[in-house]
Amino acid sequence: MPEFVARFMVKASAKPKRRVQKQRRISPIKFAEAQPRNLWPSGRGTQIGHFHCRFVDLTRFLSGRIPKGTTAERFGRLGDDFREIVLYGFAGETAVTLFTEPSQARDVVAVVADERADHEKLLQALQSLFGADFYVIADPPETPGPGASPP
Amino acid sequence: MPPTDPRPVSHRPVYHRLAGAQEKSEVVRTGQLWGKSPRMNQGNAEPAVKAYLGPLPKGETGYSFVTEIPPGRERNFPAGRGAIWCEGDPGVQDHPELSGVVLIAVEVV
Repeated sequence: MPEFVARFMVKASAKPKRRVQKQRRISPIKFAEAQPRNLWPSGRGTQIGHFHCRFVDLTRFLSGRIPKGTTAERFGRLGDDFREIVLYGFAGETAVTLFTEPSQARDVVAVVADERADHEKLLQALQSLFGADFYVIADPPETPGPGASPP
Repeated sequence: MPPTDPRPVSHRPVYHRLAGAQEKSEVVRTGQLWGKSPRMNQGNAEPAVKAYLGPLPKGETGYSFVTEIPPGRERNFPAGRGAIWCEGDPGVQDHPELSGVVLIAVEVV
């Protein structure tokens, strides 16, 4: 009998370790507290494209797939009406953000980049990262509205 | 003088917001629509009022409105093409009490 108890203890202590390792694999992108300031070199970001996916799937997908030279941070916690992953240094640009606002469009992720970045190159790099998992759609550029001041 | 739209209300372009009942009742009550710097710009860009083009689609929660102030820019948002009225554009006012908030006069339809 004493031998049986000892074996049981060894088995029970091993379980939590495996669970912790699994959780780390699922969420490798760390949360950051405040959204970064001065993210865009031109001073202005714009939505350059979008794709359809659940944000949780995107986070899982990016686990272990962040390209070399790129770092990532997450923003938006429970109770916030947005979720965001910022990829710093992606495709040679300062940053690109993958942004979703569930109250506005559920399961649509917007690709936001600096207004003066090479948008085509960024979207191509993103599509090659996503492969066949998510299909990136390019958005039309920002245009002057009817109330725009004449140049 | 801001470049106001001279057309009667029924002929002005309609915009919509996807928003809850609280925002709608506040806009109906005050006749003002407020906006801050877009979150997708990490608060870096100038404050702006934002809305989608066209009337509120059927089945969506929100409200439609018209305004005398034509938008300065049009761009894409997660749920479609939208209009923005930025701080400094003609007819866009700074909120008298809240810093970083701008407003335009609107009429909910």
